[in-house]
Amino acid sequence: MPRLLYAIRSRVPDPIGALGSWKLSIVLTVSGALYFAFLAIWSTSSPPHVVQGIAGLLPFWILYCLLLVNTTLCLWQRWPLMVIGLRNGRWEALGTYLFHGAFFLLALAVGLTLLFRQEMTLRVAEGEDFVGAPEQIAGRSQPAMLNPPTAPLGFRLEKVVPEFWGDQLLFTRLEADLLFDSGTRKTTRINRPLWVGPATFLRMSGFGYTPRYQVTDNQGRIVESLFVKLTVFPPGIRDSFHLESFPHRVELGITPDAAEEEGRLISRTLNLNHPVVTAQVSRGKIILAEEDLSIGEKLEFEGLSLSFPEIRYWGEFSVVRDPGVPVLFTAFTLALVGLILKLRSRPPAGGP
Amino acid sequence: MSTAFAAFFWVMTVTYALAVGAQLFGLVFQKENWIDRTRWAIGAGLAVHTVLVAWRWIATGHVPTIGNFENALFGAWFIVVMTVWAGWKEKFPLLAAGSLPFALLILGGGALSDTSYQPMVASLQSFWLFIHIFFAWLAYGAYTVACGAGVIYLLKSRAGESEDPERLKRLDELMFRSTVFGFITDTVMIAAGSIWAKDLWGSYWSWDPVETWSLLSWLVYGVALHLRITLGWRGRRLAWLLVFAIIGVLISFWGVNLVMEGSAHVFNVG
Repeated sequence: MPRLLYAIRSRVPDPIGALGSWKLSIVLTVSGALYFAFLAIWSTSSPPHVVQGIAGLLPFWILYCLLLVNTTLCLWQRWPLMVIGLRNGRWEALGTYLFHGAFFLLALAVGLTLLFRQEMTLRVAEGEDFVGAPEQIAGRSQPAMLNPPTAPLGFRLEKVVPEFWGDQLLFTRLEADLLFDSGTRKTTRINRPLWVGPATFLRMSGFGYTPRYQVTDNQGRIVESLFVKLTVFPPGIRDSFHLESFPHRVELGITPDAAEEEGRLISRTLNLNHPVVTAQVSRGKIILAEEDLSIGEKLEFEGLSLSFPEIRYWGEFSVVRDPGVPVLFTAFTLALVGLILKLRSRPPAGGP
Repeated sequence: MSTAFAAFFWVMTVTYALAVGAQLFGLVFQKENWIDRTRWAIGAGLAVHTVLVAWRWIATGHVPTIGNFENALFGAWFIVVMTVWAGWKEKFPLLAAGSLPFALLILGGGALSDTSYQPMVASLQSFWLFIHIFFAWLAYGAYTVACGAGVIYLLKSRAGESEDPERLKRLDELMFRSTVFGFITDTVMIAAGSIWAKDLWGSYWSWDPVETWSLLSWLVYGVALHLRITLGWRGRRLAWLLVFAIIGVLISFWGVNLVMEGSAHVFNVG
């Protein structure tokens, strides 16, 4: 070991100076560009999580660390010049510091995201209170490396408003009105999240239909009436559920704005204007009944009748906790301020 | 698009093409008056181009940034405007010969796309989208001007060419300043895109191919600036670097969506 250290020392008499040299800056920056070129080419043929895995390999972490060390030492070496420049009213050196200093905040943001980011997907129907029940949670991301408990979140979904461009699967509007337990009422849209806690935001990510079905016996008594959240959008997709009190299974699809054209059912638009439920009731492998039902119409089977008195929406929400986000925004702000300060001066002519 | 719109579109495109052809003719056969006259043609083409952008904006009711056609129309407008401004400011009309071909390529690609009106869908109704796209086109326009200046520099500084050294020096300065401007606006573009991605997808970085290529482009231009400022790269070396650096920009905008379908950056919403 001493021989190795001696060999290194004889070749690099000033290791700190070497680590902070502009030559190493160029080498590391070009290496970083080549590494990203490799990733970029890989990304055209691999899914993002594979690219992310490659980006997190040890050699690349070593490159990142060397870049940060080099930047730190370069900035340290140039500190006296910056102080002199500031005293003389020249701000461009401070701009360099702010821009390159933002890289450290960026690294911190990425680290916080890797350590703490969590995402949870919720499905809540209109009029339903979100209480964190298992059936309301559609998915969770893998636990973050450090996993502190999340702040409680409670709200009622008052309304979901999707609007479409005619009969095309293009949302022109998708928003939801929420009433939080604190009494505040807020609206979230597909790209307008709400901050609901420290570094935690809630955003709308989708919607579906939640029809209320009603089963009546042959004497007209309602024996079962429940809302079911189904994945039956866009039209053509079918989903199913089991009756609670009976052995029957109901498979259905919903045509949101139904009309008849040449003997078949079509949807004029994707807005829920005139919904028709195409329902099929089965017991085991025996199909008992199948029919297209408007709101309130009944489907008879084995002494029971099934109807759908109303259709509501359910909203899908994503709750993300990511303490890296505010740090990232701070990094962006610093970088931009640094660039603007650099703009105040004429760029140097160049040359070492 | 309507017949009238199409007619104006092709008048504009042909005007640009003829102007580029005339400049190249003037460059090769050393006829300066041909190059000077193309200024009027490019100006006329830009006027028609501006009318088309405004026409599309009014007809669709939103900024023309939805779909490949609108992106091509609006993006090419930025390239032409920045080329005209740089060429006028530096008194270097030949600059268009280097950068307008990119505008023509973009317009041609856009013309092959679906030109029907697309609505401003909910996912695009974001303040950050407009910031992202606006600065993207400023950056791409600046990088194109830098590349165009690089091409002209390489042509004019060949052995046997008797170009005024002072003009070459101004061209070199234009390459550098355009790159600086492009880098700053590119930084804003990436930042705004990250913020919008966080709002729309819940994550500020998803290793999407377009994101990765954009970051690569930003790094390449960052390397170019470091090489200029730290090592003093200028002239032909810088010109070659800027000519090759534009490849990353082209791949970010076109190449990824031509090669694969899995990118979340789909410009066509239909």
